[in-house]
Amino acid sequence: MDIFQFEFMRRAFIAGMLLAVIIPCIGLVVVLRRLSMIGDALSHSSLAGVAAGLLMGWDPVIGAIAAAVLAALGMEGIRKRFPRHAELSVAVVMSAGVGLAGTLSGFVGGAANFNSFLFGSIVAISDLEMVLVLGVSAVVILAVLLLYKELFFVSFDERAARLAGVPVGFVNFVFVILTALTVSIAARTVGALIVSSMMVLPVACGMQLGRSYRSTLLYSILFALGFTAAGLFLSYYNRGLRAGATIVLVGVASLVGVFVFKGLWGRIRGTRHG
Amino acid sequence: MDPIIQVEDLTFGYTGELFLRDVAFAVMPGEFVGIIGANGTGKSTLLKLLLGELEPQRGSIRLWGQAAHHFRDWPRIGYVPQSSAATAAGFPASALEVVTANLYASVGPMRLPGKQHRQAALQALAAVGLEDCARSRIGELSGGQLQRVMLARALVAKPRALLLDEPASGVDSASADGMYLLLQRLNGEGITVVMVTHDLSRAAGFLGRALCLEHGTMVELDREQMAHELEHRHKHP
Repeated sequence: MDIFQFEFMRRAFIAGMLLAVIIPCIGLVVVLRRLSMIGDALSHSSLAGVAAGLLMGWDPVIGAIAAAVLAALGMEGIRKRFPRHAELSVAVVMSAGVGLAGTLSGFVGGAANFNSFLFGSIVAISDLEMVLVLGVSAVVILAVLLLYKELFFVSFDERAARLAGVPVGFVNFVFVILTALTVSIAARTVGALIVSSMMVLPVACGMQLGRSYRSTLLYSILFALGFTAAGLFLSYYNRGLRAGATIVLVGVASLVGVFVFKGLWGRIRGTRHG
Repeated sequence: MDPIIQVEDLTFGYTGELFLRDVAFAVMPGEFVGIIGANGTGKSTLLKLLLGELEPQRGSIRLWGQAAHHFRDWPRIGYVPQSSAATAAGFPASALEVVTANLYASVGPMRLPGKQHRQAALQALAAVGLEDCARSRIGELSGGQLQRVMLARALVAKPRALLLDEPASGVDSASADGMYLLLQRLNGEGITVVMVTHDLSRAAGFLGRALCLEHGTMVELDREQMAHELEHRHKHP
């Protein structure tokens, strides 16, 4: 396979595979807690950081990370101030992020670099960005392993988790920061407009097959790895295809396929037992 | 003997209007008590106050002598929520995972449960008659089975008291009676049971006494008074 003879494709696969592991780890909790809008809010906020980074001469991924983390902290702050209207925090932060991104992008010379964050540019990852992907992936994987049962319990029943002694506030705070880190890094690869889809699609597929929380998480990761590999292969051998968008379309097709397969399998089993 | 729950002069309202006024009661160890009231009488609010989620405007709530809002030894109380089959249907978890989760205090923070924790969870499921459903996805369980899983989750931490929110809600009559019989058995083994329910007629046969909420105040009924109240309701529906 000549695809792996190129350094940029090897980097793309390493980064893609790492993200395919950490995105479902975050995505499963996001989906179960019905927080999908948070992914959108943070990815849009990260765009503002990208624009600010480009204007200030920093690496835009660092700008994206800083903006996403600030947005996450802002959401937590608003949620604590207005606990009865927690959903407002997401709307406010998303509005601020989109507004800032739109405003700052007008001052960015060379729109191509900014636009590459909209739909991703996994094949153009710099050395620094690769280090950041490795670092963020290590942090997210370690945190998810350490807080595995805490995240499960808080997702299933936050009140019971608190009564059992789970430090719910701390877990929620750490989770929002992990989400911010993941979203900002993924914005570079699959694109800020597509990140929330990547959080949801593998999990949606995994939930069709998993019979427990653990197996659902494992299936979600496997699906994400498959989408990413397929998307990278397809985009490499069809030069007109963007990797990020192709990965997502593979995900959508896979989800449809899983539904069809489950339906057919259910009918076959029904016929056998009928 | 000191009460497990002691409520005195409890007064609470969400906005200016008071929802609960001068509510007072005590629950002693070993009792089987029902907190009864129609929808909107403040049962859920009282439950949130007992769980320390709300602070009263006036009065006090003490759990084992400590103020509820500062109480930290919550594993002593096994909380069984009103189960929602709709919520459980979409959540990808096995019954065993749900029950094991409540062993957080014994597993410890940032650790994974071990074999002994899974064994304890299996025993808790067996205590409620669901040992065969340990690997089942909770969304595939019936309403009655799901409620028993929630009870097993509470029992796995070996609580001294159970606090249940509408344990027979959303289940058929046979399952509801089965749940009450199970609670009666647990009470006989020494666990104090406090059950919030709107259905006095079904629960009366199992309760030692009922604490009835009406128009923000509480009236206590012993077994004889419960029977009389039900007879009155039957004659004047």
